[in-house]
Amino acid sequence: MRDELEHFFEEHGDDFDVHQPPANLWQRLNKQLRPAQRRTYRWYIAAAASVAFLLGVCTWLARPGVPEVAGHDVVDVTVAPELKEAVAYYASVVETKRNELSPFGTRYPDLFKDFSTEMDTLHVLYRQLVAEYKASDGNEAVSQALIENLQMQVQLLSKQLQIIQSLKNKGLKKNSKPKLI
Amino acid sequence: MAARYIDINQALVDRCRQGDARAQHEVYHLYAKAMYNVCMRIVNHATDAEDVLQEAFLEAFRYIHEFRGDSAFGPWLKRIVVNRAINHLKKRRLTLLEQLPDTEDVAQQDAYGSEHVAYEVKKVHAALLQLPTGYRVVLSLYLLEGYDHGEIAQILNITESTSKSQYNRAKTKLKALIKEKT
Repeated sequence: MRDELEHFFEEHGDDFDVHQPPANLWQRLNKQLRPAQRRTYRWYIAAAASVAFLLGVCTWLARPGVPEVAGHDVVDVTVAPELKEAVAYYASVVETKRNELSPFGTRYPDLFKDFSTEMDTLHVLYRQLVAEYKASDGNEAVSQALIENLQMQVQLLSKQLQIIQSLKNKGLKKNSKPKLI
Repeated sequence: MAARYIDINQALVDRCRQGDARAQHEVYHLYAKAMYNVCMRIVNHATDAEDVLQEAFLEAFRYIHEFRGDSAFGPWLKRIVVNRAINHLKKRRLTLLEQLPDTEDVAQQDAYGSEHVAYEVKKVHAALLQLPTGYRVVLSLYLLEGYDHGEIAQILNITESTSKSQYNRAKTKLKALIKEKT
């Protein structure tokens, strides 16, 4: 049988909820929930970006008077010291491949079309990752995504080189040199 | 007690299962206050309650696929919150069982209950927070969180009869504390 006190609790139970959770608790929770999830999401963006990147590389390299490849702004090693070694390695591979590619920029302007814009998109993605990495206090998933971003750049540059190579071979077979600007 | 839960629809749960941030925010918004108060009553410390609540929501969202939907979402979430809060107390090595006197006569001690007392939420709440941890926890679980002694026994890993005796002692102590305040 319930006594008076128990009845009191039954009637006024809700009135005991007097505390308010702190306003920033959702932000804290959201930060913990997001990294793993964003990675999957980012993969799709990255896939789309890679297609754009391929076209982009070409255009960018084709820009008149800008044949060199500026690779350093892509990999900001100072903001991610823990990743320094891995980032530096991929950065050097990216730069080597870009240097191999750059002479073709002026020779195949159509192939290098729209590159500049897309290159910027990839830069933005990378910068966001770096920012996220710093904000997440060196989150494992984010650092993994950073490395994947760089690996993707390497892969795309390699593919682009293959395309150029096959174009060159075709050109030799047909004995018709690509048009020079 | 069932009336105290706001229940959410299956579609919202499904969106949470897919990791939809807006759905998760909606669920958080619906339950945060109630669940924070559950934490506060058990751990009785604001910062600890925040940590427990954050951990509990994180666990709930990560394991939401385990929520089958045969029961309501509120009780499912509350159980996670309660378990987390109890674990927190255990980690702090706080006594969850208060010592019972050798000669226990609950009926006699319960004499406080026979007098008519005009209870006020503020006073009752203040008295509740003055109780030793074990008493506060068992009283909160039974009177405010709506668990029966079988469930409390499971949550605290004690026997049902221990839960009952702890509860009766806690109630008597609470009544005494309330009386002191009036």
